[in-house]
Amino acid sequence: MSSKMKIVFNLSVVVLSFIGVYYLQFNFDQLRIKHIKSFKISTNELLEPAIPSEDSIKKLTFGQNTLIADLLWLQTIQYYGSGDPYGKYRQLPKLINAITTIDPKFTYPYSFAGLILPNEGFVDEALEILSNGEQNLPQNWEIPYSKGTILYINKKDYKSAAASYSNASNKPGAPDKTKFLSAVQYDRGENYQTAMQIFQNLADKSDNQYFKDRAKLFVDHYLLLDSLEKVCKTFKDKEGRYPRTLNELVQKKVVNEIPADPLGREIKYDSGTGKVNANLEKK
Amino acid sequence: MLNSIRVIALNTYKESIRDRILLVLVVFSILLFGASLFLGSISLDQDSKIIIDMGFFGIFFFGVIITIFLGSSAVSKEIEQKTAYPVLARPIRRSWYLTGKFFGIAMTLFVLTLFMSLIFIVLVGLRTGWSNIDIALTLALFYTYLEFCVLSSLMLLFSSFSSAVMSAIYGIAFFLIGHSTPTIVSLIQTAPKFIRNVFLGIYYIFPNFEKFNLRNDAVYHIKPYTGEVFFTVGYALLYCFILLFLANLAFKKQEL
Repeated sequence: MSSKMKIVFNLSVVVLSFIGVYYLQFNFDQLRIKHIKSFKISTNELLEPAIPSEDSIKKLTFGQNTLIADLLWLQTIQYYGSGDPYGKYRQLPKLINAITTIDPKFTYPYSFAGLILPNEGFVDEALEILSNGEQNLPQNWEIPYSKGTILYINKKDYKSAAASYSNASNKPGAPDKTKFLSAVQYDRGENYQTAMQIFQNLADKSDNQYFKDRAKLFVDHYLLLDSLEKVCKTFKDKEGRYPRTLNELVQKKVVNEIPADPLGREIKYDSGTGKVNANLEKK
Repeated sequence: MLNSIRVIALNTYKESIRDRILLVLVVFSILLFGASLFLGSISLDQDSKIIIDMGFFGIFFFGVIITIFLGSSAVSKEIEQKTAYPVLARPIRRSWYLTGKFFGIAMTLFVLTLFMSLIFIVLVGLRTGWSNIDIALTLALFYTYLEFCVLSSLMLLFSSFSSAVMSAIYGIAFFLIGHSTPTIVSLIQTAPKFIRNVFLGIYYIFPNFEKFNLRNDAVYHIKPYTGEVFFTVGYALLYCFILLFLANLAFKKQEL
C-alpha cells in the first residue's frame, strides 16, 4: 500500500468511525425520548436538581465549603431560570438551605430567599432561612429587613414585622427606610407611642428628604389625634360629659374647625371614652 | 552537611521544575481561573466571590496534585531507578538526603504556588477591585503553601518505605482524613466514651489539614487572630519535622 493510500485509508477509518458514533448517539437519544414518552415523564422532571441533605453535603465538602456553595448557587440560578415544570420550584428552598448551611456567610442567597420564595409559595421556608441568616450574619440589616417584609406582606403579622424592621434599623449601615417601615408597622399594629417616637426621630434627623417629610406627616397626624383627645377631655371637665361628635366641639365653639388629617385618614371618635383614632386607610 | 542538603535540594528542584507534567497542571489551574470569569458572569452579581473561590480552589487542587505527584515519586522512584545509589554511596547521611529532597520539593512548590498566586491576584485585582487583595487573602495563600509543605513531608514518609503508587494512595487517604477532622469531631459527640477517645486520638495525631484552610474565611475578608497564625506556622513546622524524622527512620531500615 502506497503512503497516499495509507493516508486515505486512515482518514476513511476515522470518518466512518465518527459516522458510527453519530448513529449510535442519535439512536440512543431517540430511544430515550420514546422511553420517556411511554412513562409520560417530562424531560424537565429529569432536570430537576437532586439535592443531598444539608448534613451529608456538610460532611463531604472536605473543606471546600465556599466553592461548593458557589456551584450550588449557580445551579439555583439555572434551575430558577429554566422554568417550573410543576408550577412550583419544588427544590428551591432545599437548594438555598443547602447553600446557606455549608456557607453561612454567603449573603445573597438569603436576600434571594426573602425575595423569591414567598412568591413561589414557600413563606414559612423563607422565614426559616432568614431566621438562620439572622444568626449567621448578625451585622447584616438586609436579612431582618427581608423577614420584616414577609411578615408584613405575606403573614400580615404587623407586630413581628415591626420588630424585624426595628432590628434591621439597629444594624450598621441600615438605611432610613428600615426605621420608617418599622414605625409604619408599629402604627399598623396600633403601638402608636413607639411609632410616634421613631417618626419623630426620623423627622428630626433623617438625611433622606422623602422619609423626613413622610415622618413629619405621621408626627402631625399623632399630634392632631392627641390634641383632639385633650380638647375632648377639657370639654368633659366643663360639661360633665364627652362631646357626642367631634363636630359638637365646633358647634360649641370650643374649636374653630376640625382640621383635616395630614395623612388623609378618616378620624374616628368614641363618645363613650373620648378616644380619638384614625382608620388606617385613606378617606 | 548543609552543603550536601543544599546540593540535593537544588538538584531536586531543577529536576522537578523541568517536568512538563507540572507545567501542564499549572496551565490547567490558569484555565480554571479563566473559567471562573465566565461562571462569575452568570452568578447574579456574585462574580467577585466566585472568582476568588475558584481561584483558591485552582491553586489548592492543582497544588495538591503536584505535591502528591512530586512527593510520591521523590524517593521511591530514585530507588527503583537506582539513581539514589551513587548519591547515597557518598558520605551523605540518609537524613540529609531526605531533608534535601524535602527542601527541593518545597522550593518547587513555592515557585509554582507563587506563580499561580500572582496570576490569581492580578486577575482578582483587575476584575473585582484591588481592595479584595488584603491580608486575609494573602494569608490564605500562605497557609495553602504550608499545607503543601506538610503534605510533601507526609508523601516523603510514605515514599521512603513504599512504591510511588502506594505512596500516592496513602497520601490521598491521609489528605482526605486530614480535611475531614471537623466531621470526625462532630460525629463522635454522641458516641460512647471509648470510641470518642479513640477518634479524639486520631483527631489530634493525624495531620489536621483544615488548620491551613483559611480560604472559606478569606473570601469574606475574615482575618485569623495573630496567635492563630503563630500556632498554625508552628504546627506546620513541627509536623514537617515529625514526618521527616519518621521518614528518616523508615528510610534507614530500607536495604539498598
